[in-house]
Amino acid sequence: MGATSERPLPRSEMSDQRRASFEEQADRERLVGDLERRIEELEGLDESEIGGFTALDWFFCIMGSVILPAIALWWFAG
Amino acid sequence: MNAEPFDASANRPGSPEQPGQEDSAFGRLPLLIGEREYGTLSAHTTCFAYAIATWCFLTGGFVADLVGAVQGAVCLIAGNLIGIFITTMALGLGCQRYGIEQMDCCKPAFGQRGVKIPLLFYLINMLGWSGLLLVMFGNGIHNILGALGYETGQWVVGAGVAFGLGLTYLIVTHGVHWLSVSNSIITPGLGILIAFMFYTLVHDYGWDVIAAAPPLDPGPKPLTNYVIAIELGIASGISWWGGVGFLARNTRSQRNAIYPEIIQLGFFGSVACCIGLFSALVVQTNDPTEWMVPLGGVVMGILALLFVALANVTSTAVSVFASGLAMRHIKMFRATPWWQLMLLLIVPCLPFVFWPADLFRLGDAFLAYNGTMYAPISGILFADYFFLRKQKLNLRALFEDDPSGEYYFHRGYNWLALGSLLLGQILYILLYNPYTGESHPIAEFAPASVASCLIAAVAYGVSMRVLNHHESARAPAGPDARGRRRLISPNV
Repeated sequence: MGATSERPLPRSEMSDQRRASFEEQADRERLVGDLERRIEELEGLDESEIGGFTALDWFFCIMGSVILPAIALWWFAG
Repeated sequence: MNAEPFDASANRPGSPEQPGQEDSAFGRLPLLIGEREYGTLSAHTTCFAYAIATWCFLTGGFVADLVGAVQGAVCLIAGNLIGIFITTMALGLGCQRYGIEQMDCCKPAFGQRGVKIPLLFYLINMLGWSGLLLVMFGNGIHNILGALGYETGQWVVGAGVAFGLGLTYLIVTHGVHWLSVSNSIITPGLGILIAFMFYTLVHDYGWDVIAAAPPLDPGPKPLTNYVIAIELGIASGISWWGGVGFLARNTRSQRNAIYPEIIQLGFFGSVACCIGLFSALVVQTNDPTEWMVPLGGVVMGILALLFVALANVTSTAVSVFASGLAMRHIKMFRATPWWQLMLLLIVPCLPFVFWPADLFRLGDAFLAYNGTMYAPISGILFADYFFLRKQKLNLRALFEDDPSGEYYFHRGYNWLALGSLLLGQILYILLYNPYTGESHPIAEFAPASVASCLIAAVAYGVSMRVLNHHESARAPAGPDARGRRRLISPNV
């Protein structure tokens, strides 16, 4: 087993492995480059571009999802 | 619940419109605004499609064990809304703002490696629901054979689960594209089925009969039953934790990240659960596959059972598929062949083949356990995103595995978050033990999931302020030759 794994690889296999490794590295670099580009773009976004979530939105959500349901639960407990 | 929502387009063949688009939409790269799919209408319709699923029947059935129709409906609707609120606000707004996947959104609180704990809970949630749905599939086969006059033993249920697992494996390894086709049939079909069930219940039995039907297996104290039913309702909303980030990430505005989830998942999802509750009370069993024939007659009942069985397998496939994607967060599984990963995820579902009835009976405990897992996590994320970070995340640090990264904490773990999570879970179990069904008198004033969420949020917020103030002063990764900061060890 050990002897097999230490056997020098034929030239064609070595070049295949190297090519695959270069391709993997190139893919990774492309991915990281794309990630960096996205991070810069998203960090530079203005709040207006993502649509605001205002105090009125919070009011509606808290009323509709917390206060009114809590009152209903309390009301029907008896 | 439940399955991270499956987006049919996530598996569509074809080339992306621009380089990197596939990696962002289908992988972990942050989504740019222009790449996001959901406007207002599509966000609402997508959420509605996810809300109407067969697990609604299960949830309604579990609540029917404890309380009657009126109290049950209040617990389901109000509880779901509260649960969705707890789960959605921090995750939804965070994932939407930065276009990130929800496990990445947990990193500012839990750390680069600590995020594996929420990931583990996510997998438990997905695979637990998968198992329950497959038992429902097996029960469906058993009841179809029964309706056709064949008397079969309970072994058919286990065999049905095994068959369902086999189908699931085939779908997730060879026919994922089939899910997008079947989902376009199943969602409207389930909507029709639920409407039909509601019509039959009201027309054939009437509201008076439904409202007067006794709960199936209540405990001795009505108030305790009501409190546990509230807990199941809240847990039902909270157990959407696995899906809200995915939906929000794909929306173009903050409002679209929140309102559709509250209205569709929270309100309409719980209305579907109520149909399950009413059916269970009228037919006096919490097994949804036993409702169809009494409600619809033999022919309609068998057709409905076949349809529900199909919906269960596709929902299971979605859960297993989403779990596979989540496993890619773990380094050792990033290069594992997809078929092996799927096989690995099927293994934890095997006990459902051998003990389907016993595990199905634990379904209500599992539903409540979702609250145990996610309520404290939601509290921690809420405190972290709104109070500590004031809705500003360091996007670069989310993808930085180098120890100098802001979210690396101590060896990749934020022990303050993990300690707060443990504290929240202990409090939950003290107030309500999902396994034994015992609840503490204090739970009559504060539902276990709400108390657990609050204590975890306070413990985390205070401990971070007092003990961790130096973390934010970490030096960011160094600039490159052009003066831009570069990632040292990107974790994509």
